[in-house]
Amino acid sequence: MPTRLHEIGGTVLASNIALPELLPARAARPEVAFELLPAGVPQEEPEQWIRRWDLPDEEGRPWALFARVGGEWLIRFPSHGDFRLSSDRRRILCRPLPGIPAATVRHLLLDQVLPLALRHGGRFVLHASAVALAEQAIGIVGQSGSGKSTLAASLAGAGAELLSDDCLVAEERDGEWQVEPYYAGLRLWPDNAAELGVPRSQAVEVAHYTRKLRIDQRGGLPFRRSSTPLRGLFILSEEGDAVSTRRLSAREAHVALVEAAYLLDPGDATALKEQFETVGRIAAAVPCHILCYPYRYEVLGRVRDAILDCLDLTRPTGRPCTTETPG
Amino acid sequence: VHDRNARLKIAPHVVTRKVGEETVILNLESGTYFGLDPIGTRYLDLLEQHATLASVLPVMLREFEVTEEQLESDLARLTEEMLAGGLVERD
Repeated sequence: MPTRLHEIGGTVLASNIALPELLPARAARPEVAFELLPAGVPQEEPEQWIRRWDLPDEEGRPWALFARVGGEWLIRFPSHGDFRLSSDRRRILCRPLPGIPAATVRHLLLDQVLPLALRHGGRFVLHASAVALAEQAIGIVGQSGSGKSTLAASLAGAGAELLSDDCLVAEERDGEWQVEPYYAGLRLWPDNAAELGVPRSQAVEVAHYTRKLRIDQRGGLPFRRSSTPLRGLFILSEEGDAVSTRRLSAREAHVALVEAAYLLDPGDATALKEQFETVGRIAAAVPCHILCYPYRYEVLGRVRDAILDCLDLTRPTGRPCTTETPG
Repeated sequence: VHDRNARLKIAPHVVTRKVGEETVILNLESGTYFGLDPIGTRYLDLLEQHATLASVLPVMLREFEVTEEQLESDLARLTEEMLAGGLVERD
């Protein structure tokens, strides 16, 4: 099967299947390779699962399990299939369970597994959306279901360009953090997409197990393809009935960002230490704010204004701010 | 209640990073993060040099406008938290 080269998060990804969500690579040398294997049922059980991801709405059954097998990482999605990640994180294999659609495999690769693989070579990967405003990037940090994608779509509707839906990849170059575009797609619940004016005909299903829709450029949302300097990070919080922002100290930002960073093995002291240093540099360099607002569509305009108030787009480092407007 | 003369040291499995006048601490064994405000940061600095709360107290009393009783109470509580979090240990 021919190898295709794609671009994602500042990385060239080789794949033995087409990944229509991604743009073709502009460089020829792949840094990460993906291979889809024939479907099958897992034949082996690792001695020990060392980590699990649970979804808030599931009871008992894990969403994903992690184990070390022969130097590689095994990431098992019990309902969908296995992924194997090489120890240098440059090779990803997937064996889906029989009957799992290709779209689901691509979603698991792009939105779940690849963010764990990209954290190498000095890159930092945060569970965050990212948009570009006047050639400057901001990150929207929040837990699953906190409204990152909806806010990003709202900002895009007001003139911003989208850089990433859920995976902010940043790289430090010449003393500045640059956000690398992830892929041109935003995942929204159908009611959010409708509320934001995206026609159903211009959205595709993300995966067979969820009602979420993926909106791409055909849905009218502008996506940015070039790396963009990171000028601010906003951590979403639903506290209170008002729209408010508060600039965090570098210490507060450091602790808050660690919680949102992708890390494959929290028990790996070397990786933890490396992440500690990287997050510390970002927290010191990029203004970080808590953004509180009631998660309702009608306040999104004021949320956008609050974000813009925090950014002095004529200066490279932003400025401190604390604002509050009635909800 | 913390013994003010107990000798303490920063645990070997801990890394720290100063950010301005504040400090972030990571316990590599537990993967847990802690933050210290400027007073806690100064306390940790002085503890590295003087090892006991009793010897740090007079130095900090000269630097901060606070009563000895209040400062000792605050630092004893912080010490207990740091011991519980594995950030410092008895020498």
